[in-house]
Amino acid sequence: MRNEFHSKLSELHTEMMKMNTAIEKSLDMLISGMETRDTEILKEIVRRDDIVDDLEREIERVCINLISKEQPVAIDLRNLASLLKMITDLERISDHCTDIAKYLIEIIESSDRYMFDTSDFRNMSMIVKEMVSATTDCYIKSDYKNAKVISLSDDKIDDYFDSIVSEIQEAMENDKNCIFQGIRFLYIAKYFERIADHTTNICEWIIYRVTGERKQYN
Amino acid sequence: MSDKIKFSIKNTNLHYGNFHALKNINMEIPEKKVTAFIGPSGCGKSTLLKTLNRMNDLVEGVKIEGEIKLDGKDIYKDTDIIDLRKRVGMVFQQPNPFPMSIYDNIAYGPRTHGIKKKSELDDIVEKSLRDSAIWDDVKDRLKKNALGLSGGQQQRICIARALAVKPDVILMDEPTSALDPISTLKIEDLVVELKKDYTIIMVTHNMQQASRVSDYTSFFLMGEVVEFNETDKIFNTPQDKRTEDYITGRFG
Repeated sequence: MRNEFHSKLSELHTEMMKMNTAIEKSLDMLISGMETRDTEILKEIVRRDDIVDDLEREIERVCINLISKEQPVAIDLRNLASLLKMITDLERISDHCTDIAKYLIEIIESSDRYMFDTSDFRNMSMIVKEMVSATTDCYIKSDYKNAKVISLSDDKIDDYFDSIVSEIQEAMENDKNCIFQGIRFLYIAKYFERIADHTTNICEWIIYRVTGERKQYN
Repeated sequence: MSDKIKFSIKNTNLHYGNFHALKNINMEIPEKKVTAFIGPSGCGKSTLLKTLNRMNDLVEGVKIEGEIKLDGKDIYKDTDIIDLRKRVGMVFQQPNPFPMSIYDNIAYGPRTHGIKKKSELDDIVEKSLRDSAIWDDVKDRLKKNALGLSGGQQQRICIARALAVKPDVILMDEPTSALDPISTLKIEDLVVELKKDYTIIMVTHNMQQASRVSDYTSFFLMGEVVEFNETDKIFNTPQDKRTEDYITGRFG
């Protein structure tokens, strides 16, 4: 029996859950900060990035240590290999939350109003948040079937992204005063789109962890 | 499995008195590949290995049923046992060179099969030692007693001795369990080299060894073959929960 190894594996899953929870919280704060134009909430998101970075490094250290000392195989190896990949995607999601928060702070501090209708951004961010939460749920339950369903909702995000790009481009063509905010909102839309891509990657790793099959959905 | 089949094992049962040691084994072992038998102690893997060159025949109270074919011929019905042992060599857990010179160890088998000419024996001895990756170690002391060599060298002498009668198949029963890590890696490298010309079937308790060396792996449990598949599949995505539990150390 490899009790010590398996107890370390379950500790790793707890750490992974902490990472997920931290990111979900940052996304909630992002949606709220964008809506209320509260720069203090947005600055807090930037500070919180360190929590995720520290968790990533710790999980990575323990995974490499276990691979080197225990030579895991089958489900144990798939657990560790998928964890190593998933934490990289989670860390990127956290970076993108930080990037979005910084751009929002610049927009809010430069003007007392948004020059674009933010409802598409709100809808996009809500779907992204739901994707991340549902992915966490799939990870806990090893629900690879739902992971596949979630990864398919990436298409909705791509549609929102395309529509936002057209809208901003048109506004900037008509009014040069829109350019400062327009460029930043374009980045924000792109970062939300990237978060959805990383979430899809995580779903693919959940599927691999359970079934051993590597499939790409984006 | 698209490789040519060397051993075809069908509905094989083996009893030692009242003990049912092998239960309805069905397996096709491919030619010129390494097949590893893994499983906990007493699961039947060594018993099946010994059944493949009829080493169980002399065990008192043994009863073997079913069909084991080597190149399509039933080894219990249509094959002369001397010819079978020539075609299916064996290497054991403990290196067991004969208490005689290195040269005589290797020449022993060919002499038994009637080869007397010195030059022919010299060629066989050199080729067997070269193929066992030990020629350079021993070429200047062929007349020295083989028991004076290290454990790892002795095991390679035993492999050379098996090769000297030009077998098709080499059975290995935990061939590295008595060796240090460096000698173990040398034997593993040798096994991979040998499969170009020979079919190798290896019992091992070392799961990393099975995953490093073998092309196919068979997992045994309580006399049954639970799973037989390509080694990559067994160690990455085993299909049976019992295989997964065993290789990940959840029981055993």
